[in-house]
Amino acid sequence: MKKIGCLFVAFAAIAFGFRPLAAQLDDPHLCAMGSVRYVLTGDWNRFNLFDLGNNPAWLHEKNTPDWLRIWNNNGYTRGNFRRLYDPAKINSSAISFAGTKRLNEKHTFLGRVTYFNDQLIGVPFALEKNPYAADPFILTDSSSGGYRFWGPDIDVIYSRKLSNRFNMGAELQYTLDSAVRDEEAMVRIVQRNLISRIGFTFKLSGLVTTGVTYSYKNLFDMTEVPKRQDGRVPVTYRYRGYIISRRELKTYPRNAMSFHHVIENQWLLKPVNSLVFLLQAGYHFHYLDLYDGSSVRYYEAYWQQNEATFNFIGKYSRPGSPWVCIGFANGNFSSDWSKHYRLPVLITEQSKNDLEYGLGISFQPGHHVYRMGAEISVGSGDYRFSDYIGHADFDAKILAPEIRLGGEYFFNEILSAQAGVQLRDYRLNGEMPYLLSSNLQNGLSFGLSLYQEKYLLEFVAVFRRDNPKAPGLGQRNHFELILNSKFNLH
Amino acid sequence: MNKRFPFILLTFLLLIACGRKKPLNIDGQARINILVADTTGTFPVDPVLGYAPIPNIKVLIQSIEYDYLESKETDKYGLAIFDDLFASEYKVIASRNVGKGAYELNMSATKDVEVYQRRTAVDTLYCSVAKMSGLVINEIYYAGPVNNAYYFYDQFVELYNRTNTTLYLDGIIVSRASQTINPNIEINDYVETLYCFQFPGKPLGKQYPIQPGQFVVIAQDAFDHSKVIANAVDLSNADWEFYDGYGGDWDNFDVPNVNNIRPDKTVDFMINLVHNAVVISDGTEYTVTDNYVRIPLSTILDGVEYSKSASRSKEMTTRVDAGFAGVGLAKYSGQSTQRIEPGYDSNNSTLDFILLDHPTPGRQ
Repeated sequence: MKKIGCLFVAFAAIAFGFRPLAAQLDDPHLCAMGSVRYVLTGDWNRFNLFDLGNNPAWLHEKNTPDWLRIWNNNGYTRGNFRRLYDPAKINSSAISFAGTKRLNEKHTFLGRVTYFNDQLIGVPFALEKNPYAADPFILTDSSSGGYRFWGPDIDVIYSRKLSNRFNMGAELQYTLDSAVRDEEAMVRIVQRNLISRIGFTFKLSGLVTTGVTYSYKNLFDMTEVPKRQDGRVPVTYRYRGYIISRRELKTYPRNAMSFHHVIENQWLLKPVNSLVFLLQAGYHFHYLDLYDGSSVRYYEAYWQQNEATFNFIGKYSRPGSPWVCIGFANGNFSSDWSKHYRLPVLITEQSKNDLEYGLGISFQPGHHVYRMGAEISVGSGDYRFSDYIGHADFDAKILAPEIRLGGEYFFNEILSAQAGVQLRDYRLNGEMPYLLSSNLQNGLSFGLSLYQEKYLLEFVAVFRRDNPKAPGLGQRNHFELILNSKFNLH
Repeated sequence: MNKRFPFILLTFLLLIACGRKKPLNIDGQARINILVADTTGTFPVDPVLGYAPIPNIKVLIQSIEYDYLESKETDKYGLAIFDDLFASEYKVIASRNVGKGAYELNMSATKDVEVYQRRTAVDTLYCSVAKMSGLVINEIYYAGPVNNAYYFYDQFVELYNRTNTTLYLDGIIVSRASQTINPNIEINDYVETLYCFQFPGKPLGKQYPIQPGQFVVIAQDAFDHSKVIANAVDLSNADWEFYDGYGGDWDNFDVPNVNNIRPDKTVDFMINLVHNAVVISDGTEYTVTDNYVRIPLSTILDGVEYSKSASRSKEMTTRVDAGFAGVGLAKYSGQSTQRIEPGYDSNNSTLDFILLDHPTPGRQ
């Protein structure tokens, strides 16, 4: 359920550094309604430990009937307003098959297979798919080129009810993608991503449920530099700091092996009927080794990150009332550093503190009439980054107020239309090489849904434009089309 | 559950204990102090300091691992200080021309200095002195054209008269240096060479002039090589051609020959495609040993050592060339290397030479 399904939400999440509440990203309904993702309810943002807490143990308790889903999305990004290593154009498409099977009163499975195709056109310098990943190392050369990453993403979740109070679950996700650069240096990139997660939930009482998850993520990223027949080595520069790169004249593959341990604790509290809280706190430990794939492995550098996160959502709705109020807050506090592999000296050091808080209100007068919601949030960030090799220090603060408005109108029992608006004022004060400069993001979304007893068909279109505040930087447009069909199997 | 939870927590803590300790020191704080001194008598010994400092000599440090290069001039004490360096091995090169015209001398020295474990490296460079010649090697094309057929027969050496008087090529020897790591290269008073080809005429004779600002191209084979490999060099109009009369070399009768003087080396003037050195000497003196020809330093007019990698060990004395031309130039790339400006010579090819995407025989 973690495959990014809506650029609109994903870009905001990535830009802000929040760990998204990933499950809800798959919900085209939320995308169509301006990504009003807390106060409006879709299939994947219900108040439970699976949807909002990402705990596989609660899948069984979610108690949904068996279903099968086929989903397709196509995204297009164009425009000159971008960061140094961002592609000039992105064409992405994915097709996904997912389904849930409730075997009996104790076992539930959820499986999903996605096949994706991400075409990155005109990527300057970067010989990586994600040059702006958390680690500071970017493999580069002096030219531009394009990539077409494609591959499968397989995700399986199993949930078991052990007793009336105790559930356990496990998740295994495997992603494999590869691409060959279409220009010099014609590097071949292979990424293998393995995520395993185990979770437990425990009902302390009818009012309090708690859960804990442990996740292990392992990413292997290999970049092969082809040896040309004329003996030339097309890669001239390699990572090490932002300002100064290591000169490289060898063609050995470059490997990045990343390990990520996460432990998270969730609490679902329902002190009274009209009030419910969900609180999640997590600790992440992340480290990465860079090395050449020569016969005698040459270690290049080491990177380590410690990160603490929290997510809070509180919902108030009086029984029978059409109004729902929500308050939410997300925090992400991390510090990381990298060092020379052999020498006890720091190469880079970085700290990131992100905080987002907001309020939401929704109104739904009745079933299958209409519903509307609004959310306002303020995100703030405080980033510091030091490149000790290049003698460069960066310091930046972010303030990003955002308004999201969305609604759904039911023409009749089977047909509804959704629309939404998203406005975000992204203010960057300072300088940070991996962040966009200040801009205004304006988004519009539209959706159409056809409900039947046995199936659901949805069509969603999302458009967003990023307008920089400084003149002469161009703009960036994102457009996404989603087709979703869901079949009830019961 | 309550009993298991501490175990799970302990397991997790053990996992994260795999992390490393954050170092206390930061990179980019190293320093290299270079003192440049003269022991040849060109500069006077300072009675207070007790040595002969060379002021205003350009000192260049080039990281072997990183794309980083910095240069400074020494102060009156002959001292150049480089601060805020990152951990790396650096090639340190000092070079300065003194005097003018026929009395122009070059003082140069080079050394590898590393700052890994220690924060400050202190070293002294003792400069050697070399007489600057009016006739220099201006371009060497050795890599061969882009091809899969191992074709490199369009190699050439280009000479240039950088003075404003006519010079003469009579008896001048063009040599390919031997490729051995000799620990005594900075002590020996000669350069060991593998092949020697000599212009006709007696050394110091005046039959074959080269005018001021004139380029002279000596081709391995004066032939239009583009007839064989499309992007190879057309050398049919070369000024001279290397000719091995002992080995049955192909000869263009319209182009005069620079002849092999070693009957035991029956090959054309072929030089290494990655790392080698070419030397020109006035031809007045040389000694033939079992395998090599020794060219006395006093007869050498110019020498250029080239290498694809700056980290390779020097095979020719820094008294002839303190650096490397052609760094980054790969074999069968069709690229060439020539001086930044015609005849520009500081006796350090790292500073003097640039890479060319295509060779330019007979012109800059």
